[in-house]
Amino acid sequence: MGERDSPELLRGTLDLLILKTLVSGPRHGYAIAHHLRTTSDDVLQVGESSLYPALQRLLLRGWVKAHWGTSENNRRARYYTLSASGRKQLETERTEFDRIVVAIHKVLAIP
Amino acid sequence: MRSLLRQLWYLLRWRRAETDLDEELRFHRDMKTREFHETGIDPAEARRRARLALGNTSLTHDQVRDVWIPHGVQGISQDLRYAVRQVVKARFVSGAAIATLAIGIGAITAIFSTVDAVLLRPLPYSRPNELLDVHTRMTDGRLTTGRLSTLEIEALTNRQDLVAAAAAYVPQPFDATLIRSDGTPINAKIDGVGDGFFNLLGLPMTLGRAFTHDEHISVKGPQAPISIVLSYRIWREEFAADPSIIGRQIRLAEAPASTTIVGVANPAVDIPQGTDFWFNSRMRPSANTHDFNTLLRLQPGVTIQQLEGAAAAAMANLARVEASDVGRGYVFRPLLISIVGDLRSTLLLVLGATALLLVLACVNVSNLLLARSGSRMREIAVRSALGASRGRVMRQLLTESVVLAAAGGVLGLGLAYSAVRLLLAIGASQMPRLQSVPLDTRVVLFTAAVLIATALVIGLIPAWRLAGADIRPLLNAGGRTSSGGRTTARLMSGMAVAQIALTIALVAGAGWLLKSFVRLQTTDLGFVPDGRLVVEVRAPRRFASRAEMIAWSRERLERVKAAAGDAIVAEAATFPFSTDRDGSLNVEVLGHPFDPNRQMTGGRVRTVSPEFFRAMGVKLLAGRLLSSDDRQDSPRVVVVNQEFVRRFLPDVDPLTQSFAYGYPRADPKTMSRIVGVVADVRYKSPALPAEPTYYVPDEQWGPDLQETIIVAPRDGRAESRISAIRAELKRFDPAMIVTFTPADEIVANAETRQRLGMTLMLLFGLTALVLAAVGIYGLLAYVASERRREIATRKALGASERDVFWMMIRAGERLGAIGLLVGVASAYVGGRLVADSVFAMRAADPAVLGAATVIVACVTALAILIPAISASRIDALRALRSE
Repeated sequence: MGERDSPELLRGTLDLLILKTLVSGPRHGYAIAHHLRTTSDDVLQVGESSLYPALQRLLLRGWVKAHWGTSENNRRARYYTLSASGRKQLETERTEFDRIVVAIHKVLAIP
Repeated sequence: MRSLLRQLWYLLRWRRAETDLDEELRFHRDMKTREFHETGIDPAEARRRARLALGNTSLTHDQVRDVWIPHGVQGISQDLRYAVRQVVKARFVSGAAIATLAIGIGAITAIFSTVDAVLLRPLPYSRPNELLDVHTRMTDGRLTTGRLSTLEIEALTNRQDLVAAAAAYVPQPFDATLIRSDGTPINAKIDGVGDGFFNLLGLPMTLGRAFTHDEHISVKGPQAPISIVLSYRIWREEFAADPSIIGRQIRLAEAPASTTIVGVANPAVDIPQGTDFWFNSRMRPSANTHDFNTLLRLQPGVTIQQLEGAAAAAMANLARVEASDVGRGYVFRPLLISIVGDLRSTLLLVLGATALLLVLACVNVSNLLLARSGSRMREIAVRSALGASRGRVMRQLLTESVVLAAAGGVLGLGLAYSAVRLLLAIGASQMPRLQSVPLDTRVVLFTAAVLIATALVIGLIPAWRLAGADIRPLLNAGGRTSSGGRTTARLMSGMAVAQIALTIALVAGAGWLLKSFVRLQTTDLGFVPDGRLVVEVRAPRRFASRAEMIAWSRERLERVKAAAGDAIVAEAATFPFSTDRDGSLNVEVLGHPFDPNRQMTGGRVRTVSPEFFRAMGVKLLAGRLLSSDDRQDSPRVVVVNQEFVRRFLPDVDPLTQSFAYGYPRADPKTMSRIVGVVADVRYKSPALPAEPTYYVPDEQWGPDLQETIIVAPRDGRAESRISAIRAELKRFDPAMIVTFTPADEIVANAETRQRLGMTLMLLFGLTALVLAAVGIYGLLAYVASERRREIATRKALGASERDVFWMMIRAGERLGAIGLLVGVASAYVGGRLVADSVFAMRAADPAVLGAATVIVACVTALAILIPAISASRIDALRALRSE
């Protein structure tokens, strides 16, 4: 059974998760995917066809920066770092996300 | 904004970004493989699982690209790449198309840049639309210099509500001799200007000042100081752009007094064309002699029509005082039009022809693409089947024509550049405003616009045709294009008709101009230029007395006679086509008292030495020529031309008549007897009929500062005399400037505009023929290939080669006939439009229309014949087997 994109992540949620992952420091793409998978107990499995376009989108907006570095097993890898505006963006998106989750809960709470 | 910059940055280093992404994805995959490997799976299986887990990398690539490049842009670059590939694949068709378009676009770009330089660019003066040229003419057809008197100029400037300023200028009939500081003479063009001339043009001086009002006030005595404004060009060339030149004196051989440089003009000032020096004309106010060319600046917002009304009233007032001005009227023209003159109509004619040529090129290429569309039907069908929308396919096909047009445009621009150089080299540079024709942004923008229009024209029909094709039968039919061919062939036939018609129009155009030019060349000029040498000489100084000057000129003529060997040598004040300043004096025939309401008449007066007529080869029709016995002290005599007799003495024997001449009234002292009538000589232009002219013996008139010596060697070898005459004149007076021109060269120069027009039209006509031939050939070859199987079947069923041949001919014949008919009709209509601006042209000229039809018909026949022959030779067996 292969790994799949997590079913139907809410629009924009992947960006939020990536930004959050980068708070603890620079990571490369694989590490981000790995982190999302392990911390979500294998629920969030992000494939490269959504991860890398998302990373590029964040780069384009200027929320993350990229640089080439050396990985733990001594290979060249592209590391992504959260930028100042990325940090701000994380705050806004997080608030927005919370608002929506609360809203959804309210809807679901109706008997 | 910032993200837009990043986007751009990405686009610039696109390739780099792609390899980066590749590396990143490879790293990801390797890490994934290691992860699987660490759970105990063997390496090969781990790699396989990793690949499965991560999915399609090229999809990832695409999606990443989508982030960076907006979707539409991506489509365009994709279309472009595909289009270039298609164009390169069809090398021959594309090559032919690009070459054809390059010719069409190149021709129109070359002519546009010329039209732009001459007609569209504003004159380089301040608010040039307010500038007018003013002339006068006689409403009753009498001759006039067309110049204005100070009275007439004053009458205009009095209307300050309409006229901001008017300024006279006086083109001098003769050049001046500038004596350099080392004593060597050079030729310089010098012209006088009236009060306010430089001010009126509204451009700042380069150095110094313009003339002051006081410098134009007329003073008694010849010793009034002369001020000089240098042209920017001569300031650079002769005076090394010396910034301290103001206040310096220069020596002009002809000038009686000291000449001081007071200013250097703005580089843009070029009125009259080619002037090196301007001097301050001193004008008697309120005088009635018509000596002045006039520039006028309208008040802002005033139109020519408004001015015309007021000016007519002012002139009527003047005529109340001076009877000779009855029937005189002002003529106002925008300055640009007056500078450009006849060139305008020639240029517009040629521009029209190039536009036709471009249309022809477009039709040709369109046809070519249509022909190719047959073989592309399947490709398009497959693309449509795979989901390409009709709009998408159209866009793709249009992109292809854009690529073709762009390639043609770039080549065309290069072609235009060389064509313009060639045009200037074959004589266009002598035309006004054509000293240089820049190939600048304006021209490139024009070419770009033409290119886009061209792309649309050549692409739309084939694209519409292909994109609209029903794809099902095509896919089913396994490659046989049985249904698409018919409509395509019909479209192509329509275009072939258009090709033939356009070609006839262009060939007829060439024919008209050719015939007009031949007419011009065979026009009886009234004199024989061949083998004659024209020597321009100028007195290099002022003479103390008239007698001294006469003696000096007589000696000069004798020297030339001695040096010329066996030749007739004569002297005249003017030579045909060499001066634009012709005096005219009113004529009063003896016994017909002066009456302005009757035909009071002006005639051109020309002073000549007695040998003039024989030296020029002018025919004597009645009476006698002038002779050396007609001297200052003998009775005054004149020889008149035929036109003079026709106009003034139609009912009497001219040899019994005498007349006096002068201005504004004839001077009784000039009363002269007509002793001879000679044939008309054309002086103004080979295209204009002769004016009433009388020839006065120079002994009875007096020498001019500048004379033309005509040398007619009996052996006809004029050039061989140049060095001897030059050496002799140098010995005679080293300060004298002498120029030699073969008379036939003067005539040829006078025909430059017409020759240019004819050469261009011949070129276009020829190109059109080639394009049409290729187009028609292409069409029939296409039809033949479409019907290959049908022809093979017919042959297999017993049709002979001849049957097939005639079948193909009939297909072409109809097209040809319709095309010829449409062509002759449209050529006639087009010819009517331009006939007035072409010398001796008749739109309905059966010879021209007939010849054009025959030429085009022959070429068409050839283009029909070749594919018909090859179709008739189709080997039935092989053709059928190959299906």
